Amino acid sequence: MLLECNKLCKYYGDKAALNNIDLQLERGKIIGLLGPNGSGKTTLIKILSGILTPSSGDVKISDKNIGIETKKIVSYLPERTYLSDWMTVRQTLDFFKDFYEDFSVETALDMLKRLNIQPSEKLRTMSKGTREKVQLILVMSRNAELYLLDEPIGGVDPAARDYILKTIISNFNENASVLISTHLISDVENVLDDVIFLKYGNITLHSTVDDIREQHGKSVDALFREVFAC
Amino acid sequence: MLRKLIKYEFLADYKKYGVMGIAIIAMAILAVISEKIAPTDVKVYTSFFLVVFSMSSVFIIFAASILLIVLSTIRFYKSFLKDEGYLMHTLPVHTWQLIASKLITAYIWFLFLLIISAVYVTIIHGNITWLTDFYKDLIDAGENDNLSPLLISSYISFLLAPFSYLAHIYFSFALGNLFSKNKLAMSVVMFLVINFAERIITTILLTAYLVSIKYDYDITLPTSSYINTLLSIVLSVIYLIAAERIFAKKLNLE
Repeated sequence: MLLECNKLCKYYGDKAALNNIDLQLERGKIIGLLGPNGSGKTTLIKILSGILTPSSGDVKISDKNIGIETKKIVSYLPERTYLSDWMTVRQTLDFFKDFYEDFSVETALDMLKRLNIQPSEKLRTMSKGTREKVQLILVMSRNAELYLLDEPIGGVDPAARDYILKTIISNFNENASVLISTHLISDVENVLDDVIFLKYGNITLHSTVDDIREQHGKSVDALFREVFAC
Repeated sequence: MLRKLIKYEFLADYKKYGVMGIAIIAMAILAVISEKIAPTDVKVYTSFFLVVFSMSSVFIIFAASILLIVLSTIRFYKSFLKDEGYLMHTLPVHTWQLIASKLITAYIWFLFLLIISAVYVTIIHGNITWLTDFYKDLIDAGENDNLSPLLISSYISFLLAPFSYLAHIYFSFALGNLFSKNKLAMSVVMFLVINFAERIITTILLTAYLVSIKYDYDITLPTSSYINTLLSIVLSVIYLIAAERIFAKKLNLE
C-alpha cells in the first residue's frame, strides 16, 4: 500500500476539517480528491506533504511516518505560487536538482520548451498562470512515488489544461500514484482511475470511476453535482 | 544539504546587501572627494560636511544593523511561514538545517556590514589610526580590573547581538504559529512577552546574585556583566532549540 491514513483528524479550533479519515491508496493510480470548498481536500493534502500537523491519527506513506523520508518520495504542488520571485526558471531547476535526487532536468527542460517558457526568464516577470505551469513542470519532473496536486489546472487556460493533464498521465510510473484535488471535474474525469468524495471532513465515497459509471449510470461530474447539490 | 540551503539564502539577498555596501562606501568617497577638490574659500563648508559624515559613522553602523534585522526578519517570515514555506518545508531536510541556514547567513551578512562600516570610517578618517586607537583603548581598559570584564562582555554581547535577536524572533514566530488565528499578530505579542519575561528572569537572577555577595562593588560590576552575557547566550540557545522543536512537530502552514 502506498498511503495509509488511520483515524486521521484535524481541528481548527473547535471545527473539524478532517474527521476520523481512514484511507488506503494503491500504487499506479490517478485519484481525484473531490469535494466542495471547505470539505478538507487541501487540509488532507497538506498533512500528507508534511506542512500541517494532524490533531490525531496516523499517516504512513510507503510505510514511513511523515518526515524527511516521505518528503524524498512525495512531490507536492500547492494551490499557491511558492517559488521565490528573484529566481529565473533555470535557477528553480537547479534548486530542485540540488534538493531532490529524483529530479530530471532534461524532462523539465523538454516540458518548458513545449510550453514555450524560456529558462532564462525571471519568475518576477511572469504571469500567475505561467508561474503555475513552471511549478507543475518542476513537480512532475520528479520521479516520485506520490504526487499531491492541489488544484493543478485551476489557474491555467483550457489549452494548457490538456497539455498539463497529458503531462500528469505520461510523467508518472506504475509504482507511483497521483492524488489530484480539483473543482474542474469534467476536465480531469477522463484521466482518473479512482475518486474520493470529501464532505465536511468525511469521506463519503471512495470508488473507481468505472464502478461509478456502472452502478450509478452517471459520469463523476454528474454524480458530484447530485451528491453536493446545494 | 545545509551548504545548499546557505547557498540559496545568499542568492536571495546578495543584491540587497551589495547595494547597501556600495552605497555606504560611495557616501564616504563622495565626502572625502568633495573636501579635497573644493576651493579654499569654500573649504570650511566641505570640512563641515566631512565632520557631519564623520559623526554619521555611528549612524551608519546603527542603520546597517537595523536593515540587517529588518531584512533577516522579513526573509525568515516569507520563506518559513508564507507562500515560500510551502516549498521550504517540503524539502527533504531537517528543520534545524532550515533554521541554521538562515542564522548562519544572517550572521555572515552582519560581519559583512561590520567590515563595510569599518571601511567607511577608514575612508572618512583618511587613515587606519582609529583602529589602532580603538585597540589601544581596549588594552588600557583591560588593565583596569573593573572595566575589563565590562568591556569584554560588551564586545561579546555586540558580536552575539544578531544571534540573540534572531533566536528571539524565530522563537516568537514559532509560538505565533501555534495559534489557530492571527499568527503574525500573535508572533508580535509573543516577541513582547518573551522580551518581558527575559528581563524579569535576568533581574531576578542578578538581584539574587547581588544579595548573595552583599553588594560588594569590586565583585559586582565585573561578575554581573559576565552573568548577563552568559544568560543571554543560554536563553538564545533555549529559544533556538524550542523554535526548532515547534516547527518540526507542530508546523501549521495555512
